[in-house]
Formats: sequence, structure tokens, C-alpha cells
Amino acid sequence: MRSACCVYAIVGREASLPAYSPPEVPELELVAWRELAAVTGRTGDDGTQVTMEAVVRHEAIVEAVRREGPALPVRFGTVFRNAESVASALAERYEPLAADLDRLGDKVEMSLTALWSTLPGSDVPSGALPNDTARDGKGAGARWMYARAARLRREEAMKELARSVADDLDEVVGALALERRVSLLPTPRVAVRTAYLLDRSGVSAFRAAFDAGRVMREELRVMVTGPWPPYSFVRRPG
Amino acid sequence: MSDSAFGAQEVTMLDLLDRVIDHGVVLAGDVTISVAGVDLVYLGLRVLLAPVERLPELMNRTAEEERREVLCA
Repeated sequence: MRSACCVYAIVGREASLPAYSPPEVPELELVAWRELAAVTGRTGDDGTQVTMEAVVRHEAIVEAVRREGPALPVRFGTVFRNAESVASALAERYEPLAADLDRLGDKVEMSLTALWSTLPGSDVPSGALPNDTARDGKGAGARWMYARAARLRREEAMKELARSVADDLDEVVGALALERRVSLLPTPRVAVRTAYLLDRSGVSAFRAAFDAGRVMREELRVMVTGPWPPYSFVRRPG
Repeated sequence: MSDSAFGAQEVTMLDLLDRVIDHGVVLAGDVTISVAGVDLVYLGLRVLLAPVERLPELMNRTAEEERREVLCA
């Protein structure tokens, strides 16, 4: 089986590696470039398959590395042919990675997810559909246009509702966060997904504020998860 | 599974998948990853849009099966 170099995290070049030895976890090695290093592990072809076990293993390694010190989480499935290729990739993005490690290395993120209580679209917001009088007597083209207009109005109403939920969440916990990322209607089931960047010491206060000021709406359930490594806050290339 | 049955465990799993597959540091080079050419971000979105009870099944599908489905879509 051909061996490759799987990357899990970015750390300072003097960082310690976790003593981490479950049999299915590869031996970790540092590949350094200037003041940064990539935490890597040898993997075969199986290591690049998208399985639930592989995803959970990746996260477990990232969290173990972060217990040793500041680290940036690398996206699952980042695999290079060899250590030289990893070093080249570090060199290519050295400045933003170094800045992100300094900014985010010891931070965590908390996630708030607002789920629709029922499938969206089952009840159309008031005023979203034209009245029967307007629809009656129209041809197929007009009916299609009415339906399309109704769908667009419904989507806009849902987006507006999601935006107001995001604002409500922000009112409850926003003051505790350093930064936030908001995604409105990321999937049909989810109204809002928000990530809040925190100091590690701020997690308890965040949970307490969420519990105390929990956003209550009939059409939504809001759930909190975390703390996670700050996946949502690293800069993307380009 | 109905949406109302969507529990904390499922949300945690989806949050994990969303982060690990679709976020985090992106290193571009001669990356050899991937699942036989299937874009991981796209694959991640497919997973997130799928019913939770099908996640293990979807996550264990072979790359070739995914590729065929994408090509046929």
C-alpha cells in the first residue's frame, strides 16, 4: 500500500506532540517550515477514505494536539505525497498561517444551531401567496409565475426569520464572543448555524448565558455544541 | 426520522462533520487526497443534506459509488 502524509494541525515548530497511542492512530510527526510545523501522520490509501471513523479520528487527533498547546485545526482529508510537499504547502501559506496561529491557536468556538420544528414550507408565511381571486382564470404560464413568486416570497420570509433568530442569539451570547460566523438557512432543516469564537475560559459563561437567555420560538429549537477547535475562523486561501 | 426527532446527538454529529470536512486550514499543494476525485466539500454538503439515519451508510460508500452517482445526477 502506498504511504502518504496526512496533516492534522498547524503548530509552532517547538510544539510537543501528544503521547497518543491507540492502535488505529498513526504515529505523529512534525514537519517544520521556519517557525511553523505541521502535525502529520503516515497513512495508507484507507486513511483518505471518508468514513465516520476517519472523521472522528481526525477530530480526536486535532483535540489531542491542542491539549498540548496552541494549534490550528486542518481540514479533514489534507494528504500529501511526502514531508517535502507538506513543507512546500506551509511555505506557500506561511504568513496567514502564522497570523492565524497567533490569533486562534488557543481559542475555541461554540456552535448554536437553530432547527425548524417542522419541515419548512409546510406552512407558508402570511401574505406569501396571491389570493384565489388573483389566481383564478389565469393560464398555465401565469400560474407558474404566481407559484414562482410565492416560492421566492416564502424563501425571503424564511431568510428574514432566520436573520431575526441570528440577531436574537447574538443578543443573548454575542457580548461574550470575540468573533462570530453566521450561516442562514445552510440546509433545509437548519434555520441558522452560528459559530462564536471564545477564549477557553469563556465557555462556562457562554453556556450559562445561553441557558439563562435561551431563545424560545415555537417554530424553532436552538441547540448548543462545543467547545470545538476554531475550524470556522481560520482564513481561507484567496 | 422526523425533524422533531432531531436530537442533540445528531446535531453534534452534524456540527462535527460540518467543521472537520468543510472548515479548517486549507493547504494547497500537490494534494493527493481525495476520494477518487470527488470533491470533499461537495461530499460534505451531500452528507449534511441527508437524513441522519443514513449518515453511516453514506459515509461508508465507496468513492466509486459516489462518483457514479454524481455523474448520473
